[in-house]
Amino acid sequence: MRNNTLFRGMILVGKLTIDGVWKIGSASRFMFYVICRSGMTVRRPRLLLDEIYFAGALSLIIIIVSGLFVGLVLGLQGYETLKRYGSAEAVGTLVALSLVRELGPVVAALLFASRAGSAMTAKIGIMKSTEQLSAMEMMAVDPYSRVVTPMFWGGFFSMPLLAAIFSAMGIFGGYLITVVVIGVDGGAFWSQMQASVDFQGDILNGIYKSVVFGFAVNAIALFEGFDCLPTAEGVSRAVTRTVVTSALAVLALDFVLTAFMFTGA
Amino acid sequence: MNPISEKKSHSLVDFNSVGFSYGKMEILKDINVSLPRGKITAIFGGSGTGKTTFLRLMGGQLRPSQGAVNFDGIPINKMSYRELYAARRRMGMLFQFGALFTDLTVFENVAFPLREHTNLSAKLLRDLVVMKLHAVGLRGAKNLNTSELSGGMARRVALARAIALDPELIMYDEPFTGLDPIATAVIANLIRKLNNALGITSVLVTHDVEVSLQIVDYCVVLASGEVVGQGTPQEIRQSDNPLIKQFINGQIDGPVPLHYPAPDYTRDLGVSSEK
Ligand SMILES: Nc1ncnc2c1ncn2[C@@H]1O[C@H](COP(=O)(O)OP(=O)(O)O)[C@@H](O)[C@H]1O
Ligand SMILES: [Mg+2]
Repeated sequence: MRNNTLFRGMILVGKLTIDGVWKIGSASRFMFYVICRSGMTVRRPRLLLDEIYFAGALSLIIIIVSGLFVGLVLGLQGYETLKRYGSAEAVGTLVALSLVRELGPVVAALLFASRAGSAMTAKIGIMKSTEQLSAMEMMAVDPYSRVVTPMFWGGFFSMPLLAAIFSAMGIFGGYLITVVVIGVDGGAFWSQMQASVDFQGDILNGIYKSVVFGFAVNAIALFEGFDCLPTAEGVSRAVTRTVVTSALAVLALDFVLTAFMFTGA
Repeated sequence: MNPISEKKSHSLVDFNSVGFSYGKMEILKDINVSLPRGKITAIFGGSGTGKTTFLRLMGGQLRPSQGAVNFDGIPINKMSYRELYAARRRMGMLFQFGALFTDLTVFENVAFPLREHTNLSAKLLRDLVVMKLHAVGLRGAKNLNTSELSGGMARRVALARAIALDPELIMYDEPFTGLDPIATAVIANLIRKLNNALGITSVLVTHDVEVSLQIVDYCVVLASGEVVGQGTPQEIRQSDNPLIKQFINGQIDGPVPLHYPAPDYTRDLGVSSEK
């Protein structure tokens, strides 16, 4: 009996491992196809523009509003703390660095995953479960080239732009609360920020991060949609997985990237 | 002269000892079927006998585990990606539930294959789409959204889309399922009419025996993944093969078992005397 339980446990571990490896393998193959079949996206920029609108432009509201609020909070908290050390003007530096290095790319990617990523998964999943993708294939139109690849590149190009807009709105929010409302000196706010934010070290690294997150979130969203079971629960589970997996992937990747970019320098 | 070219002139699609399994589950076994050019062939079989699988093998969406499916003499599973897509341009498929693109209007659905594969001017494209929609009697519905269509209308739009590129072969997956008798007759009529007018080779998989026997030229009966009989509708009607008779007359249990393969019933319920 005990033997049996042990045996089952081993089988379960083995099965989970095999499933995991299998899934990573099929996701890699999927992304390989997507990238290999990018030709149509280049030849028909209209497809790409539609997807940039779908993934990027429609995410603008949530990105702008969240960025503003995050900036307001950062400004308030930063001011309260820095004031004690008599360096309230440094709040500009604090807001800018936190946003450009971390919060901009990370929070924008999390918001993007829940706003656009989930929509992509649902769209692909429903097209799959209602045989629209099969129908396309039978019309001799490759669903990778026609549907998946433009979505991928549309989301990929939108991500760094959204992160930049998020950071810009956050800095604006920080300015509003500290300079306009509280009355910190505006000149000091901007000049300290300008003096301490490095283009190469801070801004570019932030952009690299959002490029990596954009790749990860879009790849996860599209793969989950393509891989889902073609039923109603299958699609709903895939959408949940997209949001959860993307969030974990973004946070884990952020740690790794931060460890490489901002330490030892 | 040589047997291959002779065969090629007669049939458009040939299944040569085709077998297909999903994992360990064998769906189709040793299928030998030829679809004569310009004729309507019906594939009869109950739900889950592998009718959709049969069509997907023809479209190259699935690969046979054994044997080969030839399209115009060339094995589909040996085709390169390019050749397969070239072959698919010569096929049209009507999916069981239409599979219309839900984000496009009726007009755009029918225009889709034309836009993807041709460079027609807007005027010509519009005229072609209107002609295809007229052929299925839905010219007036061209600006509707797909959500505004009834089941029968959706299937006719899907049919218009399937014939948009003037295919040589058209596959119908259960075209009558879920339709009222009038809509059924309309679709049946369309299938016959398109076949006569355009000389398309048609294959229709269905379990609707009565309607189909009236419009098709040749029938193949599948049961438990095997071909149990084939012939003209006349021959099928008069067949005394018990498997065919059961299917045609709709008897519940006969040589075709009602049950999906399962362990012994008493064992399953846990009332077996066995410990
Ligand atoms: N993707 C799949 N994976 C495993 N089994 C499948 C899959 N699709 C279909 N089947 C099985 O194959 C059999 C035949 O399916 P199908 O060709 O769709 O039947 P039909 O169209 O005749 O109703 C069914 O018993 C079904 O359970
Ligand atoms: Mg079916």
